[in-house]
Amino acid sequence: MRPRVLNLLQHPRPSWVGWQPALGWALLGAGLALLAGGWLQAQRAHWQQEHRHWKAQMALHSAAQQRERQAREHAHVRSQQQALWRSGQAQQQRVLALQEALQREADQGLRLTRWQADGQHLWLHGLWPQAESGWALQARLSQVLGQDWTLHSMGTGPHGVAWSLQTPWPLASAPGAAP
Amino acid sequence: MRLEQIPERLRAWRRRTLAWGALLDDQRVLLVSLAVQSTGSVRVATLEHPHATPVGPQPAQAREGRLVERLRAAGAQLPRRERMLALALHHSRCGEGVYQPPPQLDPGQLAAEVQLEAAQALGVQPHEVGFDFDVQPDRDDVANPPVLWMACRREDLQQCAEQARHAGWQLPLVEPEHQAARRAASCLRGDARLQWAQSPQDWQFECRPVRSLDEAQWRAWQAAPQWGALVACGAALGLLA
Repeated sequence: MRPRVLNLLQHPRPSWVGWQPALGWALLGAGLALLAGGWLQAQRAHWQQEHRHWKAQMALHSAAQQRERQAREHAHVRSQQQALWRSGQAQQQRVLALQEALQREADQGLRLTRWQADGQHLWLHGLWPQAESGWALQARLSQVLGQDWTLHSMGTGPHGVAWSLQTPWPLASAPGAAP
Repeated sequence: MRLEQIPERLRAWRRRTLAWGALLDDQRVLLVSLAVQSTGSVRVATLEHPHATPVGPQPAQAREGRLVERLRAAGAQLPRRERMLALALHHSRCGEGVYQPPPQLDPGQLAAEVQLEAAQALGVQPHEVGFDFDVQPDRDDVANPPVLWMACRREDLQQCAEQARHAGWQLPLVEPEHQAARRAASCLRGDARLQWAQSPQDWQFECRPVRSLDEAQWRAWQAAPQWGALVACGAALGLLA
């Protein structure tokens, strides 16, 4: 075994000598940290530019999505409005057809005494000179309106036969309704 | 490469191939350099013979002025990394001994005890000694082995270090001449009977001891004219160890 070299400079040792390895590692760590910090600092401008680029891209993308969503909502609302308008038109045409039919019946002796509606049902009250003609009137009105009328009441009076017909409020989607 | 191999690789990378050693005594400054050959053996590269000096001890200032002058001349063409010197001091400026410490001392307490022992032997205050010690393996007392110590005055060490620094050299090793000479004599290659007739310029060494010296050989070396060169070579070998 090689004998140890006794070095007269070895003792007494300064107090920091025992800490040399730790000091070396600490200096190495500090150097690496400085290098890493310098590298990060050098990359910072590049990353900030990347961040701004991607932020602008995200803003453009979200604005495009927003515009697309608004367009879809507008189209949906417009189609709903158009459907509602078409429904109202059809309902109005059916009521006008009923009025015209009642006008024709009036020319043949029908006296309409009251027109009553509550949004769910429609009632017609009137007088008719012949009792047997009531059934034919019910059939004709059912054909005009496209839905069945129900004879609610019928009675004989001094001016003829008083009758009352009832039907559900005409809907746009009822059979025979105008498109 | 495994992690534990890294320090060994680093040591191999940092291993020096040129080492300088010097003997500084009362009359002369002898400077040598050893070069490690590719075969692993070490040969003498430079042997600066001391100039003629007046007989008898010289003033310390003149002696150390010569050391600075010699080092400046030798290091003028050397890169800074190579300007590293091991210095052997004359035995009259050093002390050594074997100390039997009390049992169960921790390393710090042992160093303090050795410092007190060395200061007492040199006749100075404990803070005025520079020293080193090594626990000697002793089969008779494994639990409480003796300690070999060597010491000298810190003032001498500081002066030497300052002179080397002024000359642009580093001084990592200072040792007594006997330790350096023993190292050189035990590492010297060749037939022991022919070494007396060989010039120190032709000496070749091994990095590890290849022979042991008996007392007669040791006394013969001390009386030989090559003693100074042997000491300086031993100091340089201490840097290569």
